[in-house]
Amino acid sequence: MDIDTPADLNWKEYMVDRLDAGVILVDRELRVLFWNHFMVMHTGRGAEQVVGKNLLEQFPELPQRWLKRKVEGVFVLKNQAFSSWEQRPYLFKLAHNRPMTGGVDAMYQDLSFMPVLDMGGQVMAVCVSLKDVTDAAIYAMQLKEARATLEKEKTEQQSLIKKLEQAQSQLLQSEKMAAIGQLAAGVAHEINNPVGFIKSNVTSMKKYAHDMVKLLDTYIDSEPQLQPDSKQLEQIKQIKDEIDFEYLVEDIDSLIEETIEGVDRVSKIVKDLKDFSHVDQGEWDYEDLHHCLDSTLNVAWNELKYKAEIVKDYGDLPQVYCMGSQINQVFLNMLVNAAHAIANRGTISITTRHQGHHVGISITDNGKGMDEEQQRRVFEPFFTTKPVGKGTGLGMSLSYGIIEKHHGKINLQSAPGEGTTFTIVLPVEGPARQEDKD
Amino acid sequence: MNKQQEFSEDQRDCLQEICNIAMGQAADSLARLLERFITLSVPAIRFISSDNLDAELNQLIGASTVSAVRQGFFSAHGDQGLRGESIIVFSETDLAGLAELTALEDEPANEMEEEELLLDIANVLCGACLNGIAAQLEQELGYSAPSMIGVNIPLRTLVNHRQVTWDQALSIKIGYSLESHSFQCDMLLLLPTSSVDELKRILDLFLED
Repeated sequence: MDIDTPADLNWKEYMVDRLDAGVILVDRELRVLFWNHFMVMHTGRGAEQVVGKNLLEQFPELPQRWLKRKVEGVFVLKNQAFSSWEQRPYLFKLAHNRPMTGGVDAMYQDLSFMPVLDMGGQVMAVCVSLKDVTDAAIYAMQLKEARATLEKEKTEQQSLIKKLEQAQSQLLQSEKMAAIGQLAAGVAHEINNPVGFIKSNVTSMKKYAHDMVKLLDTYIDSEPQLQPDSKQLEQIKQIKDEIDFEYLVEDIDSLIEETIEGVDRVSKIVKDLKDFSHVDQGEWDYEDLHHCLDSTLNVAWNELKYKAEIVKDYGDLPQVYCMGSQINQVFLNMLVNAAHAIANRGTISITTRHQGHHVGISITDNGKGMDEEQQRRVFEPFFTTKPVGKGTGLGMSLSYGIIEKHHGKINLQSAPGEGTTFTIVLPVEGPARQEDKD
Repeated sequence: MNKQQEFSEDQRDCLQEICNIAMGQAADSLARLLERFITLSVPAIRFISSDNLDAELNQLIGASTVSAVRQGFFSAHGDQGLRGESIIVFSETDLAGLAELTALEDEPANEMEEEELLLDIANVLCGACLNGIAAQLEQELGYSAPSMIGVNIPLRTLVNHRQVTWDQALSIKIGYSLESHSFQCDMLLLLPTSSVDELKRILDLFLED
């Protein structure tokens, strides 16, 4: 073959020299035996400067131990070795081909270390070839980045979906509560009317009864004027015995008193029910939490009375800026849950305290308590330990949401078999005013 | 259903013997390179089918979380020659400790350096063993650069089932462990059926000599 080549190279050498990849031949001591045109162009060092010299002395910035080990490995094992840009972006720090479009700090390189054997099959040199893979590397890195972004967005979306589900279930619950509240308010209003006239009538009846007894007393006073052994006197005595007159007079008073008390109780429950399910749900105002607790106890009495003795330890509380009806809702959930935790009969203690800018309300039961898993999940929506159909698993999560909205905290302490204490801490001045202070 | 691939008794014995010799040589080279004593298991030669690849891999490897590297190898003769892939599976391997042992850099190894180390070890194990086999069979093998399959991935994601185009493959499994270090690695040399025919031809030639 007749090709014009530079005087010192034959055409095959010339071809390797002109290959569009770095080709370096080194011996076991890393002396350079060959240095092709690609390397000359990219490093700016001519073959005459490098050949015959130690590579590490010429390029002290190279990873010395790594390179020695790599070449030694090829000599020992007679086996080709590799290096990829993914783990080691480059061996030689060379300028890349993107001075304008950019994206990397240097030319990314894939390297191969090929043993060159002598006639006896022993390794006499290592041929290092260096490929410029900058463009593929940039592409791969962009892909990786895009995938990471997608992955991140996916995670964010999942957490958003979860939040949405939570919000939806709370909405569902609060709508249900609002509907029940409205119904209760309507019923309360209907009961209020008859209770009103019953009470007014009984009060009148009490007065009439007094008057009638007064009249009767007068009649009785005039009994001696009747003929002894007369028929009338005999009749009066007989009827008195028949109706147990003495007792009747005594009892009529207490009967009426008890009736009035009963009617009072009915009207109080109706009032509490109206308070509780107030149509103006969600209004912020200063509330007396003891009043809230008492009216909630009243509403929940039916659930509580057979299960537990209520022990109140009320401290000195200021009025608290809150949404009364929602706080009532929380108290109700706590109290009903406490009652449900008690298998037969137990005690529910309610303790209130005031400290600095906060008030604390603890509701303690001596029921069955919760294990760690239950404690961890108790505020999770739809988490319930009650049988299917008995609990929605929303009460506690709803309560948590309400207290969070008040910038308060709910904590719990529980031990299986010993009971549970829920402690609610609320800022006295509510969330907005609380922030001003912090 | 394809015909079940199988070796004749002679072929199997011959391949087993060749593997044993190659492994001995490989262990020797490795011990010199790492300056540690290497323990190898007897090569296990068997055919696996892609239908129940998960079960096969489970049986071969055992661990459920692994790090793995793959590398292609090929003989001359293009499509007609031997073409296969080695998958080197690291399980129960203390990467940081291993990096310290080989001490490529003075600094503690980072993630990239640990990956590089796995690639290096895979390349060395694979090359040492395959070169030994090729030398005995008077074949010349070339290698692609090794690439990471993944670090700490579930075993079942080792091979993407949707990309598998073979029904049956020859698997030669060799286990390596390193004395005094937490290091367990299994090399699977996998050859598709088309290459197995070529291997049989080469083995028959070898047996004739």
